[in-house]
Amino acid sequence: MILPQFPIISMISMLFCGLASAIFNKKSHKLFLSIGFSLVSIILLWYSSSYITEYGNINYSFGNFGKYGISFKIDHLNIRLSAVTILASLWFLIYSKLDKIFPLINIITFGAIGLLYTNDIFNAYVFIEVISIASYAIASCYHNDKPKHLYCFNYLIYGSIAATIYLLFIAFIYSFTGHLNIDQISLKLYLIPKDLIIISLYIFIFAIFMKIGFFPLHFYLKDLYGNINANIAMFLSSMSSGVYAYFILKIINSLYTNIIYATYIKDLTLLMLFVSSLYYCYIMIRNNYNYENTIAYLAVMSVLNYIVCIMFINNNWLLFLSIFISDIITKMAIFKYKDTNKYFYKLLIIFLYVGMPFTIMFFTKWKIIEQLYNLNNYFALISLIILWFCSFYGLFKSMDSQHIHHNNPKYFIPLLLLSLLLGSLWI
Amino acid sequence: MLEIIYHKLPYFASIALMCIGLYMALAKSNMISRLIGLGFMQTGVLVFFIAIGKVNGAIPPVITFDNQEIYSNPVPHVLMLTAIVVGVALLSLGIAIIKQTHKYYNTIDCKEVTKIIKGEK
Repeated sequence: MILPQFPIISMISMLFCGLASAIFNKKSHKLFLSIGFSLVSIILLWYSSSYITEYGNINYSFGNFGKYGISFKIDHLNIRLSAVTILASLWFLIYSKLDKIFPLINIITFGAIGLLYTNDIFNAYVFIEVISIASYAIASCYHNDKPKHLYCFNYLIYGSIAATIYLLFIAFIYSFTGHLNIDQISLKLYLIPKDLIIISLYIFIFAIFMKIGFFPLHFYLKDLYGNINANIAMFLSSMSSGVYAYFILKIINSLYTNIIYATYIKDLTLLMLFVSSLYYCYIMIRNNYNYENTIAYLAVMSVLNYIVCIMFINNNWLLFLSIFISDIITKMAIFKYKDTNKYFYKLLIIFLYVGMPFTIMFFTKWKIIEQLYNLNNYFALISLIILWFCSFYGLFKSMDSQHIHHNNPKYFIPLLLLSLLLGSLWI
Repeated sequence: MLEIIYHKLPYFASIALMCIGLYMALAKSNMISRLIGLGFMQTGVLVFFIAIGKVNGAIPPVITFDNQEIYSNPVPHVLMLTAIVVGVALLSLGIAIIKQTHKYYNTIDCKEVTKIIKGEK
């Protein structure tokens, strides 16, 4: 039966697409190939999703070595995230028109899907490096004005140090459990001393936080995102945030469920995700004076983050408060543009980012509110609705004033601090 | 103490390599030195990985039919082959970026390049 093979076929097709599109010189050929493969992958994932609904999760094991082989586990969550990842790259391909890097974008998508599916910690390392090497190459291709390869080099060095620390985590786990498969490790991990488990958790968290540049470890990404092409920065930031956050939560949920404060680390991860997204968003917007790019890429970034958030919804209303404050700051930052005549775009931005009906964000926000209602968390629900209206009003007023709204740090720093405070209280 | 060091020599060597590599990658100003430091650090982890696959009194996992039953674990060696390939890919990309930096700024010293970038701004 071919239906259970569809997720893997979609993943391999992205790799094939990346390699094949490198052969062609013409932009139209590359674009046609990439769009074709991406659409086919999305259709395959659609059918796979319905298969999983009917028959349950799909498990693959390679090499026929039983419990020692590499295995992939595909469930409702990662199949949807992989579809979103392909959509994000498709959006980038159509919109950015940076045809030189189409093959690399497809390879990043392949790596991201692999990272979502894999159930093996070393295999995850390989996919992390596939994503990383392609990201370093992309980052050094296009710059805002003059090439600033030093920042790309720093990106490579710090990213590689993080990957090496992740390798150390694998060595640590393997030396105590003798397994690389996440399911097998989770069965053996409780046999080793708790202190060692905690050390391994710290190593893992540090490695991945550094890899994606989560808030305290974001120092090396600041210059990079500010100086490379805004489209690429948006793509790299959104892709890495969504996929790696899923990976962190997957490892913590699978291996460290018995550690008391693993749940706090999970929550901290989510909080860091949104704070770092906010930070990069602001940097990228500051360096980008193009409405279309902002609309396109902020939408992708936000949707990726929201989907991760919806999947892991708990009773954490403060997290959502932080998210929405972040949203408001982002929206405020949008109005730092030189071109004030394009009212259509301004209106479109308001519709997209306030989440007015029939936009993507409307459905995601509606889903969050629905879940909060089901959890009987009315305080969070009312807070979110108030924030929603506040953001709409703020944007509307900014548009109405018909002048450029230069954002002074004094406007957004208090909100950022409030967001952090709320987050830390909740932790 | 010396006996412990002697028996755990690969582990100490790997820690030393990782520390030297980390220092070079972070503290050095020359881009080539930083890249070499990264290589050192990766090598340290490779040594650590291979050391955990060694079993005392065991032979390499090749069937010799001489009643030797204990074999060392070959899996870490296989895994590290992949890690070496990844390391080489990173090294080549790093060298390409250094070459581009030299082309535009005529230097590969991070401090000097930073000064030039700041001067441009």
